[in-house]
Amino acid sequence: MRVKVVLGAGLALVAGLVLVLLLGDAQRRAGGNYVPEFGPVTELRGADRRCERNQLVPGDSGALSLLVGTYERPTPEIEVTISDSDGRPVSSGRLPAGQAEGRVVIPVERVEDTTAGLDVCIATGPGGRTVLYGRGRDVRLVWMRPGSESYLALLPTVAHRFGLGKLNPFGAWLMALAALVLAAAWLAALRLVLRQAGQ
Amino acid sequence: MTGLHTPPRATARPGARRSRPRPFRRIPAAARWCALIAFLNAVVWAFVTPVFHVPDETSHVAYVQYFAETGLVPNIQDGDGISMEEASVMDALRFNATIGNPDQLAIFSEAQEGVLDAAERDRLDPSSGGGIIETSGQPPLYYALGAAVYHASPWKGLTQRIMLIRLLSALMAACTTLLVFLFLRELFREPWTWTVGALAVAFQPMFGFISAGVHPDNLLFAASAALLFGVARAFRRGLTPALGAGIGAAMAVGALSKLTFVALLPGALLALWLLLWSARDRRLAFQGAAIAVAVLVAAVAVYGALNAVAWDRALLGGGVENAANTAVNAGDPAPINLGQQLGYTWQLYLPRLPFMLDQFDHFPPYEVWFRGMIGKFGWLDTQWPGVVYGVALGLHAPLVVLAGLALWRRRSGLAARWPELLAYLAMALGVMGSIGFLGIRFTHDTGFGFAQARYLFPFLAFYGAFVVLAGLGAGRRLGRPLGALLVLLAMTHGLLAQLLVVSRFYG
Repeated sequence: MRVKVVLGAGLALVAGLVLVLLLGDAQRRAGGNYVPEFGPVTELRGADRRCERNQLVPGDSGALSLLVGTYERPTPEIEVTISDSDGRPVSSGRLPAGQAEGRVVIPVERVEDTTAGLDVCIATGPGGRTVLYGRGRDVRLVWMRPGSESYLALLPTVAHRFGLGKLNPFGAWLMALAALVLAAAWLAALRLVLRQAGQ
Repeated sequence: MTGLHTPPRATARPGARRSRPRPFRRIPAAARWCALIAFLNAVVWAFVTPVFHVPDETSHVAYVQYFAETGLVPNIQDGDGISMEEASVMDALRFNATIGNPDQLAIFSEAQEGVLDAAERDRLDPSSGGGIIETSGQPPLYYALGAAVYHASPWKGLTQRIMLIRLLSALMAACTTLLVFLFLRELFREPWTWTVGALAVAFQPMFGFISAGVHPDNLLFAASAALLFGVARAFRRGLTPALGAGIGAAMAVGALSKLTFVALLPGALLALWLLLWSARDRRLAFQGAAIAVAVLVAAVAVYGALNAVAWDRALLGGGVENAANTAVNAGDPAPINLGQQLGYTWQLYLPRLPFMLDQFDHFPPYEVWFRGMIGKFGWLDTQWPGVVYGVALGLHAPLVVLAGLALWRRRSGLAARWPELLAYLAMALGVMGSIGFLGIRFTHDTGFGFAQARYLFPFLAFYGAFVVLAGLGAGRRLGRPLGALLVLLAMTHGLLAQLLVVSRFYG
């Protein structure tokens, strides 16, 4: 009886904990260009511009997360434009001046589908020097999804990513299948503990 | 604990027809369930963890592939460590850009999946590896089993083959859990404790995570658990030829799966000697010990012959020295002296003594072993928020007290079991010493830390025993509920760890 009570109460707590985690704000990463932030790549002086060519911009991108250094001064206005190889605009956005240096998030119009071969240009407004970071000659670009989402709302996206890069005949359903297998393991374990320790 | 319990032998009814149950049927149903649960959990880990994101999986896959493609162990001086096919798949998965960058997702788009599909279709030369890398000196048993799966796979893409080999590793995790159950059955009288201890191991997240990988550690863990079970059983029922064969098989499999197992062998041989020394039937025990040693020697002899004849390398494949030298730059002009060696090894496990040179900028018993057990996933680049380790420490502290209490209550039985405990101690010291021996060389030459919690996983059976002791320490009334709670905690720990890895790579 005591074992039953312990397991029942424990399970309720676990369910509550998982629910709280799922309803919490997700990181909402859309993807990135896989460039690590090893150090400074370029320094923009005043109104200046830097373009990263041939980029893959993930679908559902609604903001660009960028590490900027301004020597402890407020950031200048930062404008981001995304265009295809023919120069046709795909999306753009801007962050007003006056932010603290460090990681800044520049909102852009939502890019619906993942698109390769795009040029991403970062332009700074008048002001001091602005350092962009990455590795070698490449600036690190991390794309975020627009708005705010819980992990629960993000589940379909996570399930899609979960199914990539591995043996997977089930597509985006693979994660649900893995959850079912885990649930089966849990059920079997709880039943076993109840039978062995509950007698 | 040890020594208090001798499992009853099966007794036949007078006149009943004597029939030997099939070996599988002789394993308790609860043990089989524990093994199945461990398998399912490891399968989930295999799919949760992106390909190559288990520590050193890239080089283990390289060994498996080269062995599968050529029948040879990797032994080419200045050759490529991995095949062109593996390199192209790693590129397609953006592995080198993801590892060490916890805020970088695994591949996230169909376009990237398309690049991967193309790499797997093109199959650049799959047998072009074979160069000597850090895994090359390892014995080939796990890799040979992996190669069999590689060939049997109906899919020819490398990531697909890797997932199937991961399932083989999951089977090994099931075996380990089964053997932990059987080990605990030898140690403890109370049947509920066997299930509680085995399930605590089955859901241990670092064990599950490593079980998800193409990694010879999985065979090492199973062989080590088999050895501990065999030794525990022999100390209770006497060493027989059959048991000797089992212990010998465990030693042979372990020695042919990973060099780390060599560090267990002195303790295992000491166990055989102590069993012989304390045996009631010396003749039977001698036969058992002789068979155990003969099986080990035969396996090592076959391996040595293959090395010399078929694979053109040193008899023992270079052994520990080769592994250490390949992992680091051999021939360092500033050799390590004995004092440094002993001080390093001591500080890996215990607080530094005043006269010792400070070898670490952290406290390894906490940073390496405790935090490592609670969880460092990926190539150690996926960790919990700091507060989680603090909470875990707070939860473990009373468990240690309870386990100590249980041991104290059973102290008279423990004293009577000193030969068995001495054997375990020798095995543990062997492994701990070997980690110190290799670790200081690695750190000396590269500046990087060496030890990881998984290096002590050959003693997962002791981890199970610790959980059981904590339950028993709560006393007759509360022992079972606490045991059940500890299993639920282990399951929750495992689930949260899987969610952590999911959010790191896919979220």
